[in-house]
Amino acid sequence: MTTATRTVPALGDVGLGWRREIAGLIADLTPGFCEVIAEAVPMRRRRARPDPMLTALADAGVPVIPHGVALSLGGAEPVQPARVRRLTTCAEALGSPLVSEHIAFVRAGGIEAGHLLPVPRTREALEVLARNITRTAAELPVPLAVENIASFVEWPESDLSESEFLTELAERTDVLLVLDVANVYANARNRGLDPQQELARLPVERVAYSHVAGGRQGEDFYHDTHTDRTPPEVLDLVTALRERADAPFMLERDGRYPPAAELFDELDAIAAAAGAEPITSRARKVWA
Amino acid sequence: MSIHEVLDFYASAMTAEAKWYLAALAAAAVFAVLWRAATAPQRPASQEPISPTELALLRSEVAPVVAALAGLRASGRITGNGRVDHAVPPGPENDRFTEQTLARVAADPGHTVPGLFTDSQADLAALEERLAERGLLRSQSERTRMRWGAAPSFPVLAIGIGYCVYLATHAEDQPNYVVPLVALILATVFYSAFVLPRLLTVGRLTRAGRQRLAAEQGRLAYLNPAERPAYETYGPAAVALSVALFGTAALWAVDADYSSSVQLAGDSSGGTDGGGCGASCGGDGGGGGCGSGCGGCGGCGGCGG
Repeated sequence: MTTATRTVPALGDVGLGWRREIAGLIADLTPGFCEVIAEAVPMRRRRARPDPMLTALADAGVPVIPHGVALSLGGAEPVQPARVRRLTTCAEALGSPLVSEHIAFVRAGGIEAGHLLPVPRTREALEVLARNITRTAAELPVPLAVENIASFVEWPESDLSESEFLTELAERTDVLLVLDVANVYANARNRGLDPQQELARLPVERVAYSHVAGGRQGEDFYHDTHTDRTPPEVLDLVTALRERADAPFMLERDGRYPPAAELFDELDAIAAAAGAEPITSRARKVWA
Repeated sequence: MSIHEVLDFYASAMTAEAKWYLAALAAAAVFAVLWRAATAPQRPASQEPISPTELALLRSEVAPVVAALAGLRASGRITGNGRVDHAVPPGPENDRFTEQTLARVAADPGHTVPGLFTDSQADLAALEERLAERGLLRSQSERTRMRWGAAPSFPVLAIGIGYCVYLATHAEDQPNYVVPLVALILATVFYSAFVLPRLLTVGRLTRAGRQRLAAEQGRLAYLNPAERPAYETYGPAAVALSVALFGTAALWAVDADYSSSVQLAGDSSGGTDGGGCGASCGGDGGGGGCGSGCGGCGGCGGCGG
């Protein structure tokens, strides 16, 4: 089996989401890259003013990727220029090698959903997405990558498989992908499918990097919470993806942060699953 | 009348006694400044590691008690109901003052911060002495000694006030007393209101102490409760440091019920640690935070992003 080459060589093997709640801990790690929520970066006079600790990380040579959550690429309305500008200014302030967003919509008809909502996998939705992605990418100073989301609902009119949808989207727009293996796992588990088979069908040649996160089983569904430890099945998907593509992986942790040692163990588990060097050696000494 | 002539008029209107008084006031102020400089401790500042309770004392006198309680509560050595769990081993943040505080807590499960502060005066004084020896703090005795320089100001002011009374009682017969009387009253009020308080004020921290505190607050800015630090991740030592450098909010965040029971200053509204919406919630509209289960990102379905 041939392995797809790394699409963004600037990114190291293992990273994590930069969150100010654990910024002091991240400062002692040696991440290959970090991702910051673009909407969480303060703006003043139309310029991004990142947290000094995040700036220090970028200044130290760690690639930092602004990750948008409010662009609404899948919305029927054109993307809002101000939101694209925010991604641009964040990328410029942090010297980012790329920015990323979601294959989702978050508003329609003037109503903000406050959530990432799935788009129907149809030709029409593909048209809308391709148009918004092309328009956004044209205004960004760096490449754009888009992420597959987790969802409980399946639009009845969807007539393309996730693989077909992503493949065609990447081919039509030349956009990079953020392949969230935790979302692949959540969607497969909630639909009674085999996560490994689902992953095997997805296009990996355009993957810029991959999200890894934990979740928990609720009453009806598996919830992609980002607040629980990454399950072994998701780590298996990390290994499977790594066998097909030279993809970097990053941990998304968004709350209920565990003690430092547990967080280090989780990062090491991801590194081991990806066959990469751990990024925690220095931090383990500092936080022993 | 030119300005020169005006000045000559007022200078000639001053009595010799008034001129002596003004000169004595100036001399008293100069003496106080020189005394202060001469008696200020000149110990070189130590750069050796500093514990959370020592850092706390640089910020305020009661802060070491709260910092000690914060580290002990976060580590579980003090339980939620105020008792000591002897099975929990001490952590690296536990210095001598913390162990002394733990002993007091063990003797009094109904302890409060004000009560512990009162009972800790001797230990706090010892802690203060240690920091004074390291050049970061001026001890109580050093501050008192530095204030003695202002002592001559008091008899000078007393003489001045007496002379003002004399001038006031004779001003009706001697109109030329009015100008010196007004000048002396103004000088006395100005000196008492603005100069003397400054001469009597001696800061607790040395310059090195102020620099050390500012440097630690900058280095550990991520522990500022306004940053919503994940105390569970950082551990008990970080909780103690957060209290030492930024106030009580970290202890409120760790255990609001315990904080309330020990009559801790502040309230639970600040410095809370929770899920937050740090990640892929989507849009501007809300989402209760990825960690909050239902109502979080993706509705009841987790983050999704």
